[in-house]
Amino acid sequence: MVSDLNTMSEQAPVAVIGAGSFGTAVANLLAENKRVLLYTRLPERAEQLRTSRQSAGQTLHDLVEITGSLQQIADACYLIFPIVPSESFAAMIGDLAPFLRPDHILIHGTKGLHVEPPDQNLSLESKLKRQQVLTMSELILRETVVLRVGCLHGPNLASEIAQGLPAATVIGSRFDEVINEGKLALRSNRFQVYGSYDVLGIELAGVLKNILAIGSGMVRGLALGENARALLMTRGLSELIHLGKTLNIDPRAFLGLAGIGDIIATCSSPHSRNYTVGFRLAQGETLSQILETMDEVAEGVHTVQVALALANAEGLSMPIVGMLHRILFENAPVADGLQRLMSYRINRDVDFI
Amino acid sequence: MQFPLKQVVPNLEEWPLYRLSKDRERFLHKVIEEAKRELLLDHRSSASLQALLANSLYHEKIRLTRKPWSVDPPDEKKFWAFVASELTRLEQESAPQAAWNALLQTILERYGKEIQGNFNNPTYQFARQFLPIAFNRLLNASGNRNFSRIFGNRLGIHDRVHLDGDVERLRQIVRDGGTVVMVPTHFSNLDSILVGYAIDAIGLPAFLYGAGLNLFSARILAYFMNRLGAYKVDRRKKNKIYLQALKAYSTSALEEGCHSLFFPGGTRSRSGAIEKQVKLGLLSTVIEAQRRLLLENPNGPFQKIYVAPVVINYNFVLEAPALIKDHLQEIGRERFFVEQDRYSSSGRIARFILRFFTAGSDIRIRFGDPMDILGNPVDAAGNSLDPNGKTVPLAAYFQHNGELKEDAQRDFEYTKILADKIVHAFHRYNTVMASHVVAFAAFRLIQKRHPDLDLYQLLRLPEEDRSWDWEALGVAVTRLVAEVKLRCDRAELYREPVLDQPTASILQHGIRNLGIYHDKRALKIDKRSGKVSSDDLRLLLFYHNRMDGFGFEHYV
Repeated sequence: MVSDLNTMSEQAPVAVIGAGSFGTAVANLLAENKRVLLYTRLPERAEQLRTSRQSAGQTLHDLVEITGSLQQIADACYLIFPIVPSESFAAMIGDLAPFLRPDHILIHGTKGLHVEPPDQNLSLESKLKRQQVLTMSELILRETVVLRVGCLHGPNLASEIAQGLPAATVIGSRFDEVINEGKLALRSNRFQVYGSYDVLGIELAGVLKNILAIGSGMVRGLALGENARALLMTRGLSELIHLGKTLNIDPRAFLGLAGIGDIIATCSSPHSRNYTVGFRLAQGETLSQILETMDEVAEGVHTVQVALALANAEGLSMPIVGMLHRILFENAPVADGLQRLMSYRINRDVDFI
Repeated sequence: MQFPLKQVVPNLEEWPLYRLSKDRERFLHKVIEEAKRELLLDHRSSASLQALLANSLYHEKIRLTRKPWSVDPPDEKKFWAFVASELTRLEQESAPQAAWNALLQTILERYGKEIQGNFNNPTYQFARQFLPIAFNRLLNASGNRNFSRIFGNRLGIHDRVHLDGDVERLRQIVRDGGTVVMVPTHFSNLDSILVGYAIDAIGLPAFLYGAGLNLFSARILAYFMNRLGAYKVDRRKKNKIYLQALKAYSTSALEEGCHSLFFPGGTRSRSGAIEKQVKLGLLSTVIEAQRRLLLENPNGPFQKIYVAPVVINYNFVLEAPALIKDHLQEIGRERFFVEQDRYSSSGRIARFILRFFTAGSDIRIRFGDPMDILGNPVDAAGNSLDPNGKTVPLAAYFQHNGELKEDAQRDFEYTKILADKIVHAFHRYNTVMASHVVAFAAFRLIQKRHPDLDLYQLLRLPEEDRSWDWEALGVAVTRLVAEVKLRCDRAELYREPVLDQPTASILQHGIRNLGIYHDKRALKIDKRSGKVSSDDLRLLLFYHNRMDGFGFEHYV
């Protein structure tokens, strides 16, 4: 470990792609250990960040340098953290790919899924085969020459990290090298980093949990009480684990930081975008109204569609996710939907382990 | 293309395998040193080394009592008794590290010699006499007919065995000095002979091949084994020292540019399906060898290793009855009634070979496009290409922060990536044959007819339930063939030309060729009723499985 620390030269900066709230928070965390290049696509935005030293409501660390060039990032850094919304991830990777080499390490922090073909209209009955759905690490592997890929998921509300509050995360990667490199770059006395070899498990747990954050926001918005919220979260998690199992994901991934850990954080916090979507829906706003007024993407909205379509293709029943789908996309009244939670005839508590 | 093709490297003395055979002592020494180095890295203290030695002794003692073979050298017991007494003595004397190392060296030397070949073994001697003759034959194109000489030209192996794929790419790679690792699917003990023939026919130099020790006991196989440049693999020996010696043998040979042949599936496919996963042990030597070659000269040119997948397609697998029996036992344990295995004797194999070449049912061998050790495609000049068509600097896979670094865990993951790419290629370069389509359709129809029966009940259906209407089978085959064609158009599969004929011809051809020499027929046409029936549903299952893993079940 000591020798690893030494070989990590102080000169090589680390890159973050995407200056959203989480990207900015990660850049600031990294800046406590090394020089950071923070990429933002639009030149005006880059200029604005440079002059104001403010990004997504956070003050940029002195060691964070703003750049608008992906080539500069790929040339200067071997460790890159892509943290952009899943809907623009494919385009970003396409732009970055020509500059990448096999010695690059990519650790993404995007909690969304890519669907093939993209921009499909997914209905309650849509079906998606597993091959049509790619996690971000799968997308990176398919589109680039990079093999040393990882993901960064966990209960990491950007606003709390920005305040300097303590937190932990998990890096999922098949490679020790990636996990160690990520740890060395991110770890500080307020940020703890765990590792897991189960990349897909970590990714899916991190992605799917957003569904529950939306549901949890709804329960709060309707003031149904903490018992009902716990019911939704627990039974919802059970559905997600069953979906994971049909996709050959080890249930344990859902029980770690990226699963339960993140569920506890985002299902309770008004700082979570997905929670906010659910909360405001319950308060009577429509989905389009809500999405129009949000600065950043609530990944969970799309994930509800993808998860349901995956389950449909596998012949798996997901009552809670289906219910959320009806509320989000078919204007089903929130209260009616949640009322149905009480009418399910489920006879076993824990049946996924 | 007219086979056999002209030899790519006409001068035998330039063949890497030839150089190796001329230089046996030095190579053996290198292998032993290499294996010792690796083992000592993992067992630094004498206590740990002692545990390693004791563990290997323990495994060998069990093997000696439980699984003795007639090919085992007579002094085996004596040798391991010596190891046992040495272990006791060294422990009592609290011997220094060097003494433990010496004992390890002794064992490695024995294993190394055994892997390389035992000269006292008469079978091996017989085969070895053939080696120079075989080499000489290959020197001139007109004499490049070893196989024809044995079986006679009239038997026409070149007509029976179809060689497909971008053979010229492979030849160019060898011509340019690249090292090729050929990785075929594995269905039959004949595979190694066939691949040996194919390598010969496309004009490549001999390949190094780790053959199971049991194959050396049949003379007819031993000839081909050695033509392939076989070294010996004893699957009974699973102790760490032996496995390390095997790996060192393969790694060192690859490092010296020796073209090698691995069956990555490890053993023959029991179910009859294409390998869905492959073994990592030998594959890891490919990654290891390439990494070393890169580290030797970090900035300059390096010896490059290419992986060439090969898919062998049979209408008939000699051992099918025994293989499917094993498979059913594996998945169902005791529930399945088993018959005696009568299919693996040397005489049977010889008879089969004669039958095959006289009456003949086609075999298709397809060479997939060669790739680099991480599964990247390569261009005509042998450069690795990334998904965007850009040249990949191979060394960068082993770099960390600009430095070439060894990392065992990374290499292990790279091996798994290579394994996945090979499995993918096995499916991608598969050639669908009429007999496979017919078997698949027939078995699926029977499954659908009895949705409430499990596999074992299905296999015990009485004779009257084991028949199909010609029309019903035709409908299913038509649908399957349509899907196969679609996938061929999308470059996901290949098909036998007969699949372009009308359904009736496909059925005729498929049924006639399916498992043609088995005592019981997987499918046959009843002349009077015009119905199709099966003597043996297990065999039908075996050939049906060949199309398993492609999602074809949705089409019947």
